[in-house]
Amino acid sequence: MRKSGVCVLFCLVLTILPVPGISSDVSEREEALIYSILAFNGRDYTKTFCREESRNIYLIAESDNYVILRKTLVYFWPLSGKWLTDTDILNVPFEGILEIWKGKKMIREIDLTQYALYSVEDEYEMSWRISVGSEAETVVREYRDSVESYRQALAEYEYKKAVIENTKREIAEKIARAQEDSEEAEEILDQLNELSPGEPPEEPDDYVMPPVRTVTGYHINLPSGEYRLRFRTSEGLIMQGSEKNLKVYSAETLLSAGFEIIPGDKWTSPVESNSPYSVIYVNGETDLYIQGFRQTAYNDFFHEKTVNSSGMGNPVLSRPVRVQQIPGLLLEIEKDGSPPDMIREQPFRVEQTEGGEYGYTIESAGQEEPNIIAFPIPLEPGDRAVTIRLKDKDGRSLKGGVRKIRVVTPSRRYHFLLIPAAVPLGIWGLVMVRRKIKRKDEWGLSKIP
Amino acid sequence: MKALLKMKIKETAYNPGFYITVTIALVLSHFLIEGFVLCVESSGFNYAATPLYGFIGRTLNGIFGPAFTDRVFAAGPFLFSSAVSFALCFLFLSIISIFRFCFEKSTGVIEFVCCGPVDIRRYGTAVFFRDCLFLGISSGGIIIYNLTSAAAANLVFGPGDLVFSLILMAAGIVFFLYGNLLSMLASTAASALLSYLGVFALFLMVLTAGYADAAGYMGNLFQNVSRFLQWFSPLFYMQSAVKAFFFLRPLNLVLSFLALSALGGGIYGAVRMAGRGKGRFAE
Repeated sequence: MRKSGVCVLFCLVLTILPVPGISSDVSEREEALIYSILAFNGRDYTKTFCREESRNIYLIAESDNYVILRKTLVYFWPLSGKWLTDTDILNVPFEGILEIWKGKKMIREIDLTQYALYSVEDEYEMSWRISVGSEAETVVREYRDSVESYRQALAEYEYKKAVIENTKREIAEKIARAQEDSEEAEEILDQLNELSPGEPPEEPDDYVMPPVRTVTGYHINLPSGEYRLRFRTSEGLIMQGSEKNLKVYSAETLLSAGFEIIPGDKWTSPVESNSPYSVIYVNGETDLYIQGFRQTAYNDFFHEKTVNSSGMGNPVLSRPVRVQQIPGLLLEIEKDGSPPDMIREQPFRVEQTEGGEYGYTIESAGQEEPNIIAFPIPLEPGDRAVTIRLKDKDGRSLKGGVRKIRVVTPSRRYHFLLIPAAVPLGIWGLVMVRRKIKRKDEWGLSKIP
Repeated sequence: MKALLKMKIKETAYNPGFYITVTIALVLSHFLIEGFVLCVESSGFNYAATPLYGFIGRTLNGIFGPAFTDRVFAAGPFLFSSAVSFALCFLFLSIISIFRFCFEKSTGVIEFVCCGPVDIRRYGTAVFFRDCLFLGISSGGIIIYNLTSAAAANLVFGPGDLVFSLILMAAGIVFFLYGNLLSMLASTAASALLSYLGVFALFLMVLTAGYADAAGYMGNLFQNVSRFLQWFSPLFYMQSAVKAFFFLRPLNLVLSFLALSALGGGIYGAVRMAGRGKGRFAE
């Protein structure tokens, strides 16, 4: 008894001892030589960095990526499980030459370049663009000029408005004085109506994310393969710790069609269906709005490392990446038993419900600016299976553009399926009974009177 | 050999163990399918909706990553439920086989009483065929049960789920051959069982070695060793078959099956060689 008590105590101590070591505190900021990376992720750009301890940088082939070597502080943020940089306290970018090696041969020497990253609104969604060198400077300058002219126009408008307000006040006083003479008052009122500051100036809306400034970096655009990169200072010396393996990879599959499913009651949480063999299961409580998009797939491990150097992906699987919504599609809907119906995509607006319900409704946009352009799929209570097929404007089927939608009612009424699960035990019972009968026959026991 | 096979089949068929295991496997399958149905929301399947699937989803995400979890449940619950049910039946069959093989190898006389002197290689072959038969029966049961559940709950049990069951069966058969080989080589049941579980664990480690971005000399060494060992692992071919299926590459799928068959053939040859000169049970 005493022994077991000591054992339990020992186990408890062993369990408790490591507890203070397991802490969710933010790690101390450490000075590190890192590569800051602006990496193309298949659709847009991700800012990430390669830690001093990491050996590899992963980039997508035949795409524009930018890296820069800098000394900064890094720390681990336990809430997101990610390594982060603190460039406010220490940020020393290095200027020199970036060498790219393939095997034992240096294939490229890259100079520092200026670039500007910005996004514009296309017909369906935002698209990202990069301007390099003098073009970047022009884009940034033009944006700044347009902002500056907007500010000036706004200032003029505000000034005009203030002057008019002043004048109105004066006129109001005049009216008060001329109340006795109604003719003069009418004249003054006419003057008052004529006063208007005009239309306020329109804010420049060419960009969703404007090119505020140019950034410097080393431009990398390589075909797929394994490379090494290292940094040479302006003095011609190789920076210690700057050598990394550069893994440049291509998409694993060709572009195919994917679906984005927007449920009518949760338009902010759309779900993607990327694989042709996948099935869209819904509970049928709301209508669905479906968008067809072009997608490509990258190795999950490589892609995860591209967007987050400390992340982990699965090297065996591919990760589908949405490229862009496909314009001008048709959708064939086939509900079980009924003939297929072809529909066109429609513009919709999401309207906030008035009152304290904090809800919203999805309505046809009409002439207004739409929030989503999608195919509406109304689901009725009797629907069990719906098949949807994406077609281009000429009616040809798109690769990977077929999905099954199944309406499943979540309930615990499937307990009756436990009965067939017990069938093997029933079979064993039958086997035993048969065996007993056979034994009786073999031993002739059944013939005993 | 026929008499021996018949005896081995009867031995399993008259024991409740197999039936109980299949029932447990089907009950597990039921809870996984029902759990999946409960996770279906207006926007689709959300594994965080129930505690059971929340746990499963987090665990799979942690080990294999979100891309894997998404793939597993993309077409329904049947890939996962089949894998769980199958693993249970497979482990039961292989463990009892190894245990009995080694036990009877040391006792010997039992076989002599039932069907005369038995060559160890023939005994191994009979055990192997028995295992394959019962694995086929249990897989068939699982497939029928899944089809019934799919029809009842309006889920899709598609050709993919069927192909996956075949891949699992093929990998399981090769593992049976490994069990056979180790049963012949080991001197006691415990050592055979331990070495079998060790081989299984090693192949699992080899499978997951590729996931790690291990650094340094040890990391390189481990990855290189894994690259060599993977050719002997049924899990590696199973993984390539599943990948070929996910990517809709039928040729790769056939090649994976052929490679798995070749591995099975190789191990069978090793089993025959290991059995040579081991003599008869009754001797």
